[in-house]
Amino acid sequence: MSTNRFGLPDLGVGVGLRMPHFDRVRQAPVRVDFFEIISENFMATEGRPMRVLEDVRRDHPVVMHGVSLSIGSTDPLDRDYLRQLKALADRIDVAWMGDHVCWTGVGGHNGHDLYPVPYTEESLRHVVERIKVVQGLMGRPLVLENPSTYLTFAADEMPEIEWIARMAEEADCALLLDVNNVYVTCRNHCLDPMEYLAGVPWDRVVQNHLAGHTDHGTHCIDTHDDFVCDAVWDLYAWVQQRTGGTATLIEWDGDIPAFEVLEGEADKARERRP
Amino acid sequence: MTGLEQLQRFMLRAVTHPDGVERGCAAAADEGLLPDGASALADVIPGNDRLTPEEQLGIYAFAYVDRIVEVLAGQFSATTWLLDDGDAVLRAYLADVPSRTWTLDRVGDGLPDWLAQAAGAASRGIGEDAATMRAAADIARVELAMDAVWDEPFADPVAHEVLAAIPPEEWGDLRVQPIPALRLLALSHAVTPAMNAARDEVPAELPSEEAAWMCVYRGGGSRWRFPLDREQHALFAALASGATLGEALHTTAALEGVDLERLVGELGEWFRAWFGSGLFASVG
Repeated sequence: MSTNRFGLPDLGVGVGLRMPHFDRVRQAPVRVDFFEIISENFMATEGRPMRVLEDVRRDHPVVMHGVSLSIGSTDPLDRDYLRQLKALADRIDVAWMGDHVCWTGVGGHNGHDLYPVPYTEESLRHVVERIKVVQGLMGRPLVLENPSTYLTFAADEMPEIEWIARMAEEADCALLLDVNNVYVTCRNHCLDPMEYLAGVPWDRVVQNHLAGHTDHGTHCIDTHDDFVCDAVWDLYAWVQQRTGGTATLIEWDGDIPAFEVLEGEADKARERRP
Repeated sequence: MTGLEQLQRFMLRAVTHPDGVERGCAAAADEGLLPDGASALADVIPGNDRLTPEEQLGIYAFAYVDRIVEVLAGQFSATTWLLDDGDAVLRAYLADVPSRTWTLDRVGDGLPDWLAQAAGAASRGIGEDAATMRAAADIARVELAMDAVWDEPFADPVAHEVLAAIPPEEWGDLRVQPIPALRLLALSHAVTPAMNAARDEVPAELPSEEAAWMCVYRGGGSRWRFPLDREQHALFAALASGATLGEALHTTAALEGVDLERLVGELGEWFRAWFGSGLFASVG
């Protein structure tokens, strides 16, 4: 069933394909509906990761989620990177592909992090134009994720979700709503998550992310190294009811536990889906 | 420069400065990167009642240095094992050679050369002596090669019986191609004992400075390394470059002090071991 304007399917509940689980996912049935890969982990390898990915793809849908597109950067788009990205998407026949609303470097220097975009008219025009170019090259809509942010800029001219909604509308791209990121960003900037969610253009949301974070009291960090917290589960349940069911991914990237733990988190997500 | 670019350059300079956010902000201001109309950091990043602007930027600065150094430390575990303070060396490397690639896997590509030149180490007060840095450079070369073979395509290895079935008189015209997941290295230190020490997590002796050769390959889902002698390396390298076995033998025999008779006598055993390890993808 599809509830988004792109006709992209509700793939159910999936997990990230990570190296510690390579043997496990090939040796026994898994209790997940799809896998998500970090695009860059498979773009420059013909070794074991690619073999595992091709095996997994035979039995499950796969979606691509990158960290290096740097759609918000003022550096020129990296055409070689984009060529490799498309080649992987075509080879694996992914259900969809995306990245983050962020920039990762400038002046040729890569910081390998998801830096926040100032939410201004200038940045909006810039990012919309780049999304259009990339979507043209990829031949499919980009699915872009709301970030976890740890600072705001004095130059900001509008709330994050208003900027993202306009970006999606003007570039005609899809959105990945990371519910944990909504929680983290709202905690860090004293915002109400329900007000944030009120601004989401739901017909463009094709996927949700869920993850654990680290609460430092003064701020939260999106660490992907723990169980999803109750507050995020509550937001997720609301989101799922609002969308009528959206593909959901459990992210766990630090202190990665046994695969069965991820399956348990996937079960919890299923319980909250319509 | 647009306002957006200026803001991005300001932030990146601040969060990647090797001496911290405060120095990074000052350096960015000195370089004219403070956005128009701003005279202080608070004019760019207001902060909030729980975190100052510097503390907010510090979250990104911490992620930059610590994350990349963690990746490098994993990739160059034997290299850093040899060093007294591998973490400090990797931080100095990152400061001198910031990443210009989209993949973290390639951030360490410049480490061997940087170590060999000991570039920046003295100026940053790193306590490693030059001999240790040069030896570490060779270990880093091996570890880079071990990473490279990991990502190479698979190829079905040829069994030794295939070679053995070919009449010896035809061997001279044979071309024997190694699998893609293989690298041959010519080093200036005997690094195997130090790398074994790192693997076994016991103290490593400083590798002796001498010519040394090594083969690194992927086999059976793991990565392996073994030392070669000068003649083995020369022969293998010639074969890998596309020479016939006869040509490779000729090249090897031309090395100073090579006993051709001994070389030919040992060839069969070398190939038996190499084929047995699955190092060749074609014979023809």
